[in-house]
Amino acid sequence: MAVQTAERVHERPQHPAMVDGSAALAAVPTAPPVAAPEAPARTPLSIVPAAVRNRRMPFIALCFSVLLAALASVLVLNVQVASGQYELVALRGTEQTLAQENEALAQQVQNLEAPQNLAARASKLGMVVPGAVASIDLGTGKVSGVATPATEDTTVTSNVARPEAPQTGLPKAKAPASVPAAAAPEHAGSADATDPSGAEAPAGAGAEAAAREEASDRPAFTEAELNGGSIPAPAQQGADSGE
Amino acid sequence: MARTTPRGSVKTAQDPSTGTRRLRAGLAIVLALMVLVGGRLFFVQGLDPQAYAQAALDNRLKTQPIAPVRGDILDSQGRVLATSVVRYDLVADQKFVKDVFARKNAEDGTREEVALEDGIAELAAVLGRDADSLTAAIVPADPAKPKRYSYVAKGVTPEVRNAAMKIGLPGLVSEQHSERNYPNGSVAGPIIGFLSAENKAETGIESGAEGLELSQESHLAGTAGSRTFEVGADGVRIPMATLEEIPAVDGQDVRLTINNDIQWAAQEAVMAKRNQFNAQWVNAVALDMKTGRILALADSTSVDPSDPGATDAQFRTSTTVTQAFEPGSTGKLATFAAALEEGVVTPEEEFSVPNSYTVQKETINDSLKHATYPMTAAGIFARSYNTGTVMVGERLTNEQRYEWFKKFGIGSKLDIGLPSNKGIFVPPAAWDRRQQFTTMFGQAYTQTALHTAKIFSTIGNHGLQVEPRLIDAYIDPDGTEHPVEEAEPRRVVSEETSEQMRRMMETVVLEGTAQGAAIEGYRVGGKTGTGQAASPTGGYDGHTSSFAGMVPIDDPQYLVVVTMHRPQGNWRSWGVQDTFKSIMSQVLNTYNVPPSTTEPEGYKVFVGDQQKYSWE
Repeated sequence: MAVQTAERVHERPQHPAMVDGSAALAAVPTAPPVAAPEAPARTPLSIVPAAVRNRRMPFIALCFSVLLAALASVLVLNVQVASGQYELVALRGTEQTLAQENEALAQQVQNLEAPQNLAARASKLGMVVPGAVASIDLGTGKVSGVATPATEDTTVTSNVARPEAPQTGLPKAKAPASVPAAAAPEHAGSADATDPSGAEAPAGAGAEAAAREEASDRPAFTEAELNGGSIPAPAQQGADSGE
Repeated sequence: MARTTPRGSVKTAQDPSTGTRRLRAGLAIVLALMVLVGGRLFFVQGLDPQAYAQAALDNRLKTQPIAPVRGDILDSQGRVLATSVVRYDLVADQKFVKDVFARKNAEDGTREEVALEDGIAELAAVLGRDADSLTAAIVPADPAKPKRYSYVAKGVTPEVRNAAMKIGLPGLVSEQHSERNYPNGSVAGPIIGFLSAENKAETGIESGAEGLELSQESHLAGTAGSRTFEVGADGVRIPMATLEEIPAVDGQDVRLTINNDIQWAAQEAVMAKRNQFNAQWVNAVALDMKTGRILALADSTSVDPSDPGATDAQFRTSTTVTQAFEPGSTGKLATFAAALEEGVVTPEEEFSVPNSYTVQKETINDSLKHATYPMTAAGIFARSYNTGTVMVGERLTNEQRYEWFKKFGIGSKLDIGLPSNKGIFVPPAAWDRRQQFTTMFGQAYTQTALHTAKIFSTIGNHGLQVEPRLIDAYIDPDGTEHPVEEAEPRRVVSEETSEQMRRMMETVVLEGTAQGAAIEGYRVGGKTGTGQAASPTGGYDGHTSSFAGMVPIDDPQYLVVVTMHRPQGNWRSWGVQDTFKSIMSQVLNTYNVPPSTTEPEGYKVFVGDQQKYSWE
């Protein structure tokens, strides 16, 4: 740029080739007569290189700073994308853990819901098959049928084999490290909840939570996230999943 | 240069030639290298640059299949009958097994060295197995030839898998797969069917092998997707690089018309009956007559879909649709309905019914010896006399009866999505002389229990035939329901015939052979049947005892058919009416059917005032 500016100034003489680059030397012998009338015009030219010399350093600095800024921003962007990727992996892991936990719980519910299991539990509670029913027509108030009381001997049969309970936790043979610890305080916790003294309750709940955490890969959730349940409600994730 | 100084003049003389040689040699080497590099550059970039770029990309690209989630099978109330759960196989690559391995301590996060035996002991505790069997799977028997793929444990739960992977054994990896889970054990097992790993090697996914799991495969299976991405040398995905994801389309859920509670109650009842008479099998069909919805198809021997191999092949499908038998007296329903519809008989028409009746040189006998009785047509039906039935039936031609039987659905396939037996019913041209009479009382043709249910349902449901069906709706993964369209009810017999037949069926329960089927508070109608069971080697070698009944008989809503095949012991003791009663009571209870408010109105069984005659 600076050179170009100088050239443009040199263009004013009628023989620009004589002072241009390496050819300027060759032109010297013939030049003076022509150049002499132009001599007064050269005075301002000497200022230009000086100005150029002054601007050179800040300009390089500017270039470097732009380059550095670009590199830095690329770095930051890369780091962000990479950390977004890690966050994505972590969130996927959480999702998977929760889905699997949910699946295990659903399996338990389905097992308990199986009619054989319901019937067996009802029997255990002393329930029997009902007798004849009567019904009231709410429109007319008329009763149809004669209700008879159930008798003790009409218990349900259990011919159909009960389904195998789904495997929960780790196999029983495990050393008392995680699962028994997880199961036992759970009962202790619920017993504490009904305990009128209530003094032990927080400790019991705390132990339960700690045991649960120890037992599984379950991420820790705050009370607010759980909102009284065992699985946090779906949350709105930020737009930073980095996909 | 240093060694040339002693002989300056010689050196200067030789210098140019040596220098030139060296220069030329160097130049030649450089040129050769440049040609080599240039050639290679041309080869790589000039000839087929795309292929090389592609090869590089292929090297980075990794495609993972995304397995679709197989749809659930649900009962009519949305309870899960079959679902898929995630399970893991633990596999060891013995090449990476080391005597001592390092891992991060779970508690304080420090690095610790663990001996292989200790690691295996920890794994044994997690899996609940003994360490020896694990050692055999993990440590190579021959160190020179380590197994690259050795199963350590199959089908472990995610919880166990997480605990096992935490131990950090080198070379131990887990592979995820989907496992079918049937939470109700053998309840509805023959309906649901089961999966087979037969073509698993090909697709990596188990597919249906029996029952609805097989017939609904196209709905349940879904379509696999895939995920393609670039991976760096360290195995981590390269962010911002190519990512192509074709999502898997999950399978549809199939909701059945089966009610799990009734299904279970029916299975309990038929199992008790099977045990009582040591029968080959006992089955039951419960049907919503208005809609044709099948509420239960119960078998005394019911396969547990989790372990189909434990059940005899015959009982891996439902006998209610696969086992055809000669129905016996329940077949009289079709004969009487046809005769009433054709107008050749009325319910109260009088007949003199002997113990033995000979027609066209064929003698028809009743099972219980009785005196000749003056009876009504309804009475013949109620007491289930073969002789009287032939007297009524012979008023129709063979062709007429054949056409009517066809209309009721005898001998035609019932497609409810299960493998089914259409039974054997040959046209009259193929009947022998005796067959034309025995078909009147349910012998010499075969049908399944579901056929019986369909015939009773048609005649009871005001003469309207509704096809029985098992599948209620298909549910998309997003919850959109696609109900299976109900077939239009088809009129087979008139309302009047249906009403007369219903009264005749009620007479059976009030005065006839099925007094044990009465349910307190409800008007019940039905028909018993005891047919001879054909031996596989020819002739008859057993019996099939059945009862089909409907409630409330004035406007029937529910039908239950109980069939017992080859019971042991004295035939007079055989009865399945109590089984009917217990299943029907469960149905009435489940659907809150109010007790009947109208009085029973059976026909007179005998002509005249005397209505009580001895059975033998």
